[in-house]
Amino acid sequence: MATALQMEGRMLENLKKQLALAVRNIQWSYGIFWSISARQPGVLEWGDGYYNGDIKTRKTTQAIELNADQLGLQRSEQLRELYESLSIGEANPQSRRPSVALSPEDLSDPEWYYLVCMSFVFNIGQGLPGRTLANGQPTWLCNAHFADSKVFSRSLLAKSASIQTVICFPFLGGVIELGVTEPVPEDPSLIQHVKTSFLEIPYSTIISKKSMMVAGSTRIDNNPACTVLDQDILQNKLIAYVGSAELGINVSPNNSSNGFEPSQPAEGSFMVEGINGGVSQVQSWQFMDDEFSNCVLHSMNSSDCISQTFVEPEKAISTPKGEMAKQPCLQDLQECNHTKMNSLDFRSDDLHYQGVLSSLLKSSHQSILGPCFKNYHHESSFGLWNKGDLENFQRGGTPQMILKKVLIAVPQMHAVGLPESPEDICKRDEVWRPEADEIGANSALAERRRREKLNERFLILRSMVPSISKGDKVSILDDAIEYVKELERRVEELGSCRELAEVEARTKRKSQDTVERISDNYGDSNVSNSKRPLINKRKACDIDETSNYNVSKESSTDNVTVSMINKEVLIEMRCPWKEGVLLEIMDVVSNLQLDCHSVQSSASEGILSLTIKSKFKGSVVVSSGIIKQELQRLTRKF
Amino acid sequence: MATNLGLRKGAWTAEVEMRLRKCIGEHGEGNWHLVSLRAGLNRCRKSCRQRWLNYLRPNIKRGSFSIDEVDITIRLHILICLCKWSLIAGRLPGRTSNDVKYYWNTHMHKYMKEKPILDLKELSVIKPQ
Repeated sequence: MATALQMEGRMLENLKKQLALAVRNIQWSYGIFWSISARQPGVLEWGDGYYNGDIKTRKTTQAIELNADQLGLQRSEQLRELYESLSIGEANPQSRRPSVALSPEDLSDPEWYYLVCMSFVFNIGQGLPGRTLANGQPTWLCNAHFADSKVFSRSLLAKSASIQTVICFPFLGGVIELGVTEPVPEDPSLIQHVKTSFLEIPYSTIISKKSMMVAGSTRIDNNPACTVLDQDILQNKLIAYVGSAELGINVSPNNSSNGFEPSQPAEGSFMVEGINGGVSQVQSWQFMDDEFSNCVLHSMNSSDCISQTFVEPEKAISTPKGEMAKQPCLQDLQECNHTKMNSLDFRSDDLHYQGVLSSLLKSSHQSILGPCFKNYHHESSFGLWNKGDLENFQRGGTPQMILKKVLIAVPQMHAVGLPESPEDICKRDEVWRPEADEIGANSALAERRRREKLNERFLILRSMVPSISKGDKVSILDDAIEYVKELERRVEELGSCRELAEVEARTKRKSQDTVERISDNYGDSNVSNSKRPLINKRKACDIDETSNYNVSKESSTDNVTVSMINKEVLIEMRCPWKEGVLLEIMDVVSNLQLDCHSVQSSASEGILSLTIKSKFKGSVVVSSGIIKQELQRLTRKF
Repeated sequence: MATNLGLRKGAWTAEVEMRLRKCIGEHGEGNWHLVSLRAGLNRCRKSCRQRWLNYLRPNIKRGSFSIDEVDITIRLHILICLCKWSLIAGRLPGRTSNDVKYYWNTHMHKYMKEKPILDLKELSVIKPQ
């Protein structure tokens, strides 16, 4: 029998669900339960809450499809988690958990409001919740976002979240606060409605559900053959009966024994249960229950370890709600003995199925079944089943996996005709697995092919770029990028030079004609340069030797090539040789703040070929175009 | 280097601000790279954006922070721990992230240094009665 304290704890535990229910039903944005702080008596702090408002982003990584109800609860959980992780991080930022589902950037405005609310505490008589508790009267605050901060300390926050209406009413020694983004005129009946239909009644039904579970599992333990339908009727009746009763902690033995009478109609109960969150849930779990009990029964026959759990059904029944269930359970036991016999007769054919089931369940899913089986011999087991209502469902993969395994494995075994050992089943599983593996292998193969192609392309790229320093992909790409950039720059430079040259050629044609006639070679070599705008530096020396075919009238100024790498400048130029030309060139170069560290020059057939390697002296960097122009101006003088 | 030449820096003139305002009124916020073209401003996109967000936007609240605003700033700063000014500014209607940052750095920074861990419980006592 639960003590008052335990009941209180359980009450608060259920409060979350009730709060969720209430908030969702009236479609408000959030509900907060402010409870008296355990550490600081006389202070209201965050007890629990449910967020039902706008959501900016939802992480779509959840494996299981959840309905709106569970999504809401999950979101509220995540918000709380985020808050907690943030407040832990407050003490030492290093310990901040990185795995929190939400990050501060994901929150919508009302969520921020909700989150920041968690940091608030109120002295009794202070703030909206505090005053509500002190007065014992509900408070209805319209236009919360414009309220004076003396009345509603979070009005500024409410403004940013556009929360417009906030109500508070005392409940269970704390205060429940509800808020919505719309203006809602004061309506005491709404508070009453929330109080009576969600916060109080469902609580009693939850208790009744507990007792119902006790009763249900009593039946299951004793009578594996009893149908699911029977149980449902039974439970529904119990809920209907107890649910309509007061907020009673004890369900009297009379009530429950009435509930066991098979003749009572089961109407009107669905509503209550519907409110409580999902008939199907309960039913499916009952179904599982039934299955387990079947296997428990048979494993007992084969004296398996699981049967230990069955050995003490009496104890299990009697401990949690002993005085309630004792008598009916005894009656049931007798009844059940008959039905059990019948059922065994009926099911003699199916015997091996059940044996298989038990071995199946036992073989592979000990860990999964763990919590369920624990229930059978754990003292407050039935509380666990019940409490686990939602959590169990959220971990919903478990029963599904078992069911799936059962569905797949049983027909196979039936074909063999004998109950098989777990090892065989495992083997079968292995036989089944390859199909799945094949898909995986296919994708792995495709992936490998893709990688191979990528590597191949990288090699090609590497072979195309002359200045690859290292072999890894990043540097290949880096160098390729650099190379392409350099090429682009050169194209631009050469293009602009050519334009310039053309313009100049047109304007200075007459004067230059004579010059060209004098220095045929000079013109020719220029042409050869301009014909190959993309020559590499390395090849530059070869060009000198290339024979020139086309003689153009245009005087190209491409006789100067300037390439810059960081601050290093490489100048290659050709010009007709003259006394003192070298000196003049060096003058120009040093005027450009360039520091020459190597000069190579050669004169052949009246043409001076010059290669200057230099560096910028100071931080001033002159663009290569300017250098070129200067040098070209110089050469044009000759 | 060459592209930046000719772009104006420094103070905004009232006339240019009017053009920016009008342009954003017509086309809405965003697409900052187009703004200077549309409005014919000789400003870079970053400059336009910041001028709008921090000064020209309507409903910007001026003046010193109220006690409530300070309270929320401190709460959030403690909670978020990082200097995510825009997140904090998002909770303070009419304040820009710049405002919050400047406020924090001028007024609260010193205080927080002296007393690195501020108890939220204490804060609630500070709150207006």
